[in-house]
Amino acid sequence: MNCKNFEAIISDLAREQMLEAHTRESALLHIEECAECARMIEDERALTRGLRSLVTSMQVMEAPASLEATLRAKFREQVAAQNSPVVVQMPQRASAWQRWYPHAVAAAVLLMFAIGGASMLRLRQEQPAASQKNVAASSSKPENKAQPLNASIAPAATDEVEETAPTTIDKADAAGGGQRLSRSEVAAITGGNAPRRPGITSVRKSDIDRSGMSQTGGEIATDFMPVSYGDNLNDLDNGRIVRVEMPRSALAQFGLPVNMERANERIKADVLIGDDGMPRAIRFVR
Amino acid sequence: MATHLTPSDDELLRLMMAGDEAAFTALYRRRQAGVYRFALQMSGSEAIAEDVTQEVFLALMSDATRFDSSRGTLSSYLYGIARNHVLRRLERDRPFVQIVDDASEGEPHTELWAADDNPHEELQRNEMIGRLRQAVLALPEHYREVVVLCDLHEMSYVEAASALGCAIGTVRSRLHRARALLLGKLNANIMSSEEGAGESFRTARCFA
Repeated sequence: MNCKNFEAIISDLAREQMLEAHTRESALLHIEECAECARMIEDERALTRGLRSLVTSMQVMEAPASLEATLRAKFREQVAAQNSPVVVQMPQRASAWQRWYPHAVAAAVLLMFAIGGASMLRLRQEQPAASQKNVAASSSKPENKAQPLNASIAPAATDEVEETAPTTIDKADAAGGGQRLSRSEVAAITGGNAPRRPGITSVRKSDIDRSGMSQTGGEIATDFMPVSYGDNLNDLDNGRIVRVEMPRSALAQFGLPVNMERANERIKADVLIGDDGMPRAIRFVR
Repeated sequence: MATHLTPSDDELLRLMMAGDEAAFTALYRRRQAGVYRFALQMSGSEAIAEDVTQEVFLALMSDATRFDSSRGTLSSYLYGIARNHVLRRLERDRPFVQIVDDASEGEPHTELWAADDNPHEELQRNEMIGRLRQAVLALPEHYREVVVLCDLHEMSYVEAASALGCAIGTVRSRLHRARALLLGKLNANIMSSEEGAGESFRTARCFA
């Protein structure tokens, strides 16, 4: 055995660990021949003796008696808790309709956003100029103008101007379950046969505040915009308006500006649901 | 003639899980001292050792099903929990934990091991044990834990590897390195204290 091999087993030798008989004999022979290794094994053996003395000196040390009492009390508490019957207050069971309806609406709206947004982007890229012409044509023909959304408070057409601003709708302040609309009200919201572009509508000058948003009754809302670009809203006989919440980033789907720092905030919107249960139009409310 | 067999750790654990308080108490009494001393030798603080011991047995009673007897002994499992708690506590309290000195709470219980009649030798040995304790506490944690488990708790390499969650070869090599570091610290300490005496005072002589 050489010094390198001896060094590899020196700890085991000094700690009196199990070694192969042949290895042990070779190591002991090496000590007799090598003074340096003999000195090293003496140091290692002294260290082992010192560590054993340290063990002995700490032999009586143990956790304080109070800890046992504490832990036994905890154990009893735990066993008692496991054996006691558990009473769980179950929430009141909602009707099937109440349970799935909001989820279904939200899912449908998001699906339509994705489809509508993709279609809008594609059509905008293909016909940017054509879209501008249509807007100009609609503003020059009074019969093609979009109607004010609240027919009952619609003023004379003389003080109407075309704005790229949202409008206010009083009628659609329905809560949760939605407000049923008649055919004429739906037609007023959807603007008859006039071609529509999101965010562009006719509003009264008096309803437009400094920020360019029309306001009535404390809420500011955009115009109703078709969820699907190619959707014909005139086919709607009846509808229902449902108030929903969605991420602010959804505004981008309709070409509206989004503050990306607040993209994760929730905003309110009214969704016009057709009789078939599908969302047909949407407006954003502040 | 009735024979009384001491129940194994696994048996006590099974009874404890069934809600047997006596089994829990027996298990605690059997294993608490080792866990406490391990935490004390690792941290040098009685307060930490007590807290860690409590955490270990609370963990055992709250989720004993995590112990897998096929992976090691219950003792190794408890040391493993203790080791994690000690390291977490040392990390958290690093600026505040002070290594105890010879005159503080960790004074060795000399009456148990001092067999020599010579008071001078006894004093010298006490001093050396104090230095050894300091040297162990001054080791880096991954070396300290193998010295504590293998040398101070006389665990086999297999048991230590199970407690530390590492390979047996790792335990072996770390122990070898840790002992070399200990010897270096002790010799440096002794030589500095004996400076001017004109003679190097070797470890072997001090523990002879």
